[in-house]
Amino acid sequence: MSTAMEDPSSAVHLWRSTPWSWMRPEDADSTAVRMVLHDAAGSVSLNEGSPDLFPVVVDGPETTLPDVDDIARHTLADLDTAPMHLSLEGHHEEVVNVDLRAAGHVAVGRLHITCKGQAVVHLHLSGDAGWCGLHLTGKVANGSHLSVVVTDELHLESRVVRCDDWRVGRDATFETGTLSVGGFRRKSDLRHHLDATGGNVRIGLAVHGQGTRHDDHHVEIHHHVGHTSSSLVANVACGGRSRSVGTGRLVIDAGADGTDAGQVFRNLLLSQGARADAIPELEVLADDVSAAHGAASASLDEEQLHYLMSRGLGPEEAAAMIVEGFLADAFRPIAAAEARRTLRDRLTVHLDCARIT
Amino acid sequence: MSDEARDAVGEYRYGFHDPEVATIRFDKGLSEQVVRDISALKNEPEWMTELRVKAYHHFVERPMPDWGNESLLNSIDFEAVTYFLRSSEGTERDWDDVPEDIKRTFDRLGIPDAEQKWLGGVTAQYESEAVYHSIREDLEAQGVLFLDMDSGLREHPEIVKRFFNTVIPYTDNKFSALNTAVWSGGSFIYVPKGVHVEMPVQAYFRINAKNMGQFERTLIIADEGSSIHYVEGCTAPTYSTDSLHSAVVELVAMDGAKIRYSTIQNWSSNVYNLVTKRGVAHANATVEWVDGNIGSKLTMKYPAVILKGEGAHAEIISVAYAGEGQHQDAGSKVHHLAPRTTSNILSKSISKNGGRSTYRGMLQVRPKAEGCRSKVVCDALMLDADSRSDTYPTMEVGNASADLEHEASVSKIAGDQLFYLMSRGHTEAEAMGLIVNGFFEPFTRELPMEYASELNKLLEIEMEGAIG
Repeated sequence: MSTAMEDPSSAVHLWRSTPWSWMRPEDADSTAVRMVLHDAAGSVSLNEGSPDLFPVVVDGPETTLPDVDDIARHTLADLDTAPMHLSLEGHHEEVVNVDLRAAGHVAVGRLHITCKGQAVVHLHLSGDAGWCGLHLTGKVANGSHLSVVVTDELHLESRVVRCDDWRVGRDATFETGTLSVGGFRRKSDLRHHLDATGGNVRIGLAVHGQGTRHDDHHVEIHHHVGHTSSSLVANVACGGRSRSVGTGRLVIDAGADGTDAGQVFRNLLLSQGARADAIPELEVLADDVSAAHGAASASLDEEQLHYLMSRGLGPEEAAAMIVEGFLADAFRPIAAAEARRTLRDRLTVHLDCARIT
Repeated sequence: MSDEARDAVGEYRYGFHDPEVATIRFDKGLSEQVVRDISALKNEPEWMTELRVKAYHHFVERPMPDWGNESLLNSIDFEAVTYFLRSSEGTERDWDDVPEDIKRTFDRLGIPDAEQKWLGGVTAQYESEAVYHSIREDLEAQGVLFLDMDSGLREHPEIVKRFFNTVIPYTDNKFSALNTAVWSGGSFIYVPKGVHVEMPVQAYFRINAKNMGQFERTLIIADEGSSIHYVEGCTAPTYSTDSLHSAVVELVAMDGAKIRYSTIQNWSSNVYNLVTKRGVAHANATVEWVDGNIGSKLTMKYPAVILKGEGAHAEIISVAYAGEGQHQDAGSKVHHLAPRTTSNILSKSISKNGGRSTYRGMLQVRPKAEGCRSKVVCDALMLDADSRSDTYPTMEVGNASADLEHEASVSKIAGDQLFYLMSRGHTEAEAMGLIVNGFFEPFTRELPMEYASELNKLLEIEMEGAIG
């Protein structure tokens, strides 16, 4: 279907800062992202999913004309013919680790996760694919609690397109944390739907830009019914000549009274050549709601640097420590301690090897 | 006014309309010939005629914006609009010389009364051209020029040519192109070096004819170390067919100068209000927009400031009230181009009876703008479940030393606040009115007192029937 679609113009909001022409795969021959499940308890299975689990566009009937906003989803569906399904039932004490290994010129993976119970899933994306496309979809059943941690450590010369579509049921909680440090150009379009009362979505996003890395995260949260809650915290640290774009689109439908939603974008600019854009958007069609957003941008705090250096740290170490604390703070809204620990550990490993400014 | 007319006008306070007395009225529709005829009628210099023609072709070629309220934008029939209508022969300087029916309209708006009391000068624009213009003698003696734009071009072409179309070029957007092609009237102000205009100067714009387009062009230049406060108000009667108001306002604050531009827009609910307003602030200059949007069917207006010189400052305070059938798509833009520039943006909106308010903002820090600071606050109140509030702010930061903050919230009137006021003896409607007035207070306190009280009265009228 994507081949019939024209490239979205630069006026299309979703593709304004990162045009699709920058992100589209250059060669249709693709390999699958190899998915390896590490489950010590042996209680989880990763199988090829049936096609009905994978609607290309989650929110809307398939019969409507394709929207240019969904061009990435259609492209991924065209390229990946063997999507996988991870089914989680019951209470999982251990973190469920899935390695997503992207190799070759173009690598594509689609993974659908269903959760009935409680689980923490760690998706670790790595490899040296020139172009990597990933579509994550999932459903959190009524009363369930799913935490999904995504650590992206693709090779620094990779281009990455990621699409997410999550549906959250009654009294269910979906938490997700992303550590985005890999790839030299990235576009993420992450959409979350709160379908029933009592649903709760918590999102933490930490981005580190170095060199000429370009990272564009578009995060949508749709409150379709009332008495649902959501929070988004995006902390971005940009060094070198990197650029980050963070867009938060929070939509509260008519009648969704009792919604409590908030989002915060914080940008830390570490060098003169870095650039960070924040676009936190609200669309509110119900009146009895609490909806707020905030954005801030600043450089490293001289007082904090001075304090750490007076304790014997060098300027680089002091800056690295502040950046680590700042990025790790994005994961604070995530309640699952295992999920937070996983993200924090990967962040520490990354910053040990990375250039901060 | 007949009962029938009164029924048609409804609650709109300024919905009266006088019989239309036109001395020159162009046929509806737009063509290069219409543009040339407007220019010829005004005996304009050739450069202006050619600029108009170029702008006209740009307008024709440029597509309609594909963002904002596209369905309303695309419903505008540019061929059904009258692009020029002259109500009076020439601009009068004595109020007694203004034609009786036009004077009656402005008397009802209270303009001469206001002028006598405290205003520095007044320009009243009725349809396409200014009908009355006055300036206090002491300002004239200090060299302050306050003219309608047509007279400004005629009497001071060298100043107009230097600044016109520089802050907002006709290529900026479709409606700035339309305005540049067919502009008529508006204000021209030049404040010489070091002169401080203590009293605010005022202009009033009114559309009386139906299917009328009003395309005023305002240019204000505050030379080094000077200051001025300009106040603009707009109304139109209610007709069953739509009118178009598409103004362009250019402000230039030279080094150390200060311009404050206050607007209360209360167009009736059939007016498309598509306005481009932008100021340039040179070193240590200040540009302030105080912008109130109460009326119109669709407003798209984003007052902007380009902070071009080191130490320049921008201040934008705006309020929007979106009632039934209204979409107030307003916001602000600040571009920090120079080091140590600062800005503050405060936006407040209320949506009621299915109205839609949108804040659309842009805050940009360019790489050379070292040490900038900015704060943006947007608050929205929703008074019922049928209304809608959107916030689309954009922050683009290209310099690491910038210190920026943005915060926004959407909420309804808190039950405990209503309860507190009602326990003091207020009815629910009064309590709600008090809370709304308090919500807008950061805006009203920046207005001259008479405008503040006018705005509060307007809000009271609009708030009638808000309960139940």
